[in-house]
Amino acid sequence: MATITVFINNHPYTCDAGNSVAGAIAQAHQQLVTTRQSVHGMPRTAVCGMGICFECRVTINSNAHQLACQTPVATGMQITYEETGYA
Amino acid sequence: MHSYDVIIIGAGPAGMHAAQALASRGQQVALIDDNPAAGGQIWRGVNNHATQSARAALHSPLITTYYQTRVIATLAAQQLLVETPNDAHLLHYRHLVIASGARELLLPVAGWTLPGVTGIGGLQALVKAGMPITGKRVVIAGTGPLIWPVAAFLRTHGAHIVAIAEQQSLPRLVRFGLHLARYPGKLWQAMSYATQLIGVPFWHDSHVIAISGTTHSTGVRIQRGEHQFQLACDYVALGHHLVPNLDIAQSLGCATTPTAITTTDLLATTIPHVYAIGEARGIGGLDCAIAEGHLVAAVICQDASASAQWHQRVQTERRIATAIAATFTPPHLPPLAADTIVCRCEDVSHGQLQHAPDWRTAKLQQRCGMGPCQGRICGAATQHLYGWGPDAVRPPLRPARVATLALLHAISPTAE
Amino acid sequence: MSQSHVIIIGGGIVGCACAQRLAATGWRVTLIERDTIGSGATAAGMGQIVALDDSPAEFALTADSQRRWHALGQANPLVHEYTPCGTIWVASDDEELAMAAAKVPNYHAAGLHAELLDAAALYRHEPNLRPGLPGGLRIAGDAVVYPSRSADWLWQQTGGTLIHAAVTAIHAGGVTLADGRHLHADAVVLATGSRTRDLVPALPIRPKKGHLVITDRYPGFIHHQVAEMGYVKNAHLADVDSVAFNVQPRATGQILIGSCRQYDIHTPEVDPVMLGQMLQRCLEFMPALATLSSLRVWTGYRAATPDGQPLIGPHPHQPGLWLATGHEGLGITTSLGTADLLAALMNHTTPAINPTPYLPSRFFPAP
Repeated sequence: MATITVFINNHPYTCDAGNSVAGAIAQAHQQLVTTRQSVHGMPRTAVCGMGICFECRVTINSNAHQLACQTPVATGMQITYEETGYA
Repeated sequence: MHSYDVIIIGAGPAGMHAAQALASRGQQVALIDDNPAAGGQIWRGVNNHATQSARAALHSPLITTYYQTRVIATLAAQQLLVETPNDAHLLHYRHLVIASGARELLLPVAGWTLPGVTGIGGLQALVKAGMPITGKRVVIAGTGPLIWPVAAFLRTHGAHIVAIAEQQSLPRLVRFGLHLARYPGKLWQAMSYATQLIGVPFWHDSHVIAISGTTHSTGVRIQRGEHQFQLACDYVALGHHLVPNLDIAQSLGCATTPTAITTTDLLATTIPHVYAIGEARGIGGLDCAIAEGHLVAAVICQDASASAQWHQRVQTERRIATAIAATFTPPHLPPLAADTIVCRCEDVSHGQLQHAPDWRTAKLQQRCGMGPCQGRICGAATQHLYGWGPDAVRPPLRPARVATLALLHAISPTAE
Repeated sequence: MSQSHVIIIGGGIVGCACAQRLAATGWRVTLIERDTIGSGATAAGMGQIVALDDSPAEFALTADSQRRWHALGQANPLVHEYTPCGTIWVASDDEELAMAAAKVPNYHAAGLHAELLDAAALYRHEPNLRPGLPGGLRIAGDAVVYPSRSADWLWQQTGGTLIHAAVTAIHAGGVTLADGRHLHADAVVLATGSRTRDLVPALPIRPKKGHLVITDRYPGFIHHQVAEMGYVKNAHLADVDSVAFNVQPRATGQILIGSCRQYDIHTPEVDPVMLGQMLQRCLEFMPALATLSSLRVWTGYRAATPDGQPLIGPHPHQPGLWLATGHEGLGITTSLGTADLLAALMNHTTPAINPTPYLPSRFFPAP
């Protein structure tokens, strides 16, 4: 499969071109990782995988609250989320 | 404004087949889906020949596909407001087909907010989207016919399925199996999953009590009859069968029951020019969805002989739907601890909700259901936990950019 | 001596504030609410605490109330989600800026903060406003609260009895409920906002429908409640539908977007065209709103009176019936001032401000 490069919290990662942003983040870390802190500061990440639960919201190309599970990766995409406090 | 003979909402198996069958009869079709590609969510692990050929047929010049597109509002004069990643459109239809599918019922349990806890279909969708699963230890728990294909899919992709915990009783599952045995195709499918899952511990009458971990799920506690087990794992896939997506139909004013859009045998809803097919008409599975896709095309095009033929097929498939509904009933949940989160968007706990008199008070005083999922997760949970009723549906049907809603200033409130 | 008993009809912010004040001054309180506390216009409104100087009467009541909210909010900021963000009234041209400048002395005379902003100061405070605006007026003492929770909190202070029921009639010495029960009281306070005429048809109150939009969390997107100077002009514009730019930062980081006014619409459904026009107006002032994710839209009804002032005081022809209604778009702000006025009138003590402009008798011909 073709690969492309995206930036996850400013680090370049090479991932499969058909990935979603959620898939790319998981691929970069070899597992699901915390991509959001809840309103009371709990670690959260993708749950439903299909655009329902909104737990996978990240910032994509400076737009906050984008669904990582519904957004396909694109070359040069800037994906950011808060990592503070959590692995 | 773009105008179409038929707009189909949902590019799962039902919607894809409807699009193909309508285009083959010369109809101008728009096919809308919030996912990046056609194929649907819940059943897209089940790739059969019919689905693949339908996907290929979407290249017809008569079909316009709107992927990553959300229906934001249903409007007067047969118009829809939809939002794409960078734009918004007003679309006009002569006929509307709702193939909005279903979502998983996710119910609260201690630890369910930890990263690593996903839906069952959710885990499959994430793996398909690039999430690595090889060598990961997965516990699958809950109820529903989705457990089997997903477990088989994950194992095929290298996951170590630690256990499958199904909440239903053995006699009930056996009855369902015997029902399936009447349909050779279904039995064959079930056998193939069973073969792929040889050696995986399967427990009936079992449910998750708690998921442990600090920043990621590391284990799960399971009640099996009188006994409790602690299992170490990397992922917990939880799901309690499916709930149909009814919001678009309700927004249009179509009659619905808690589990389906109300239709005639020929798929007409209670609103003129609006039809419903597939899971949104009641959970019926892949073959049922496909048959209804064909039927709705025949009905809209007034093709009497095709209607009669597909109608018969739908009737047969719907009998399985009845068996599914009778088997995979909503579970009895273990009592929740006061600090278990129920509303994930606003972090509202069971303790904050259990004494609230109703949904409205919980929303106003605790913000339960007021977050971006618009109550899609906690609404089903609070209905299950506290018996609270759902709300009237209002636009925006999904979160939408302000600019998208601002586009409404220009609509004509009546037909052109 | 036995306690006097008051029945308050309507558990919105005004009814709850009156309940709290009356309980604090010795009344035994029964509150009758058909739905849940703080669920009507209280839940539908923006939760703005604003001092407005558009008429002496409005200024007196809003300034007094703003101070009371400040005290309440400072004492219990978490309960009320009290956010002392202040308001910036944006001038869209030099004429409006001159209007803004003329207001400053009024606020100072009342002992309130007010500051004229030139363009540079305006953009320093709110960089997301569209370029080319001449300036504005900043009222630092204004604030935002979460009204449904404040209403519930106010009610919790009373120790009174809450009855969930609909009232079908008010009569001398009490009320009748939909289930036929009669409840007796020494006084009845009617605080049912836009539904006032359901029980007292002769009162000059009309519902004025509004729409609001709330977004996901964008902390720091705006820092003040920001509204166009034309807001007040539009708000009190005679019987025509109107929209005005008005955005507000919630304590959660969410942005609340308003506003619009429609007379005599009785259906609660979202009106797509009105919603679109309202947002279009807001985008003209703040184009960066365009990409924010809106989560919900809702509607509600303000209780509008012909002169824009609320009805606070005795009903001139129905002894024992007191009114606290007709607060239009300022019910959250003026609830606390209203409660103090009403309680003073009912207790025959001296209110903090002159009650005359708000007395219901102004709409009834002298005998």
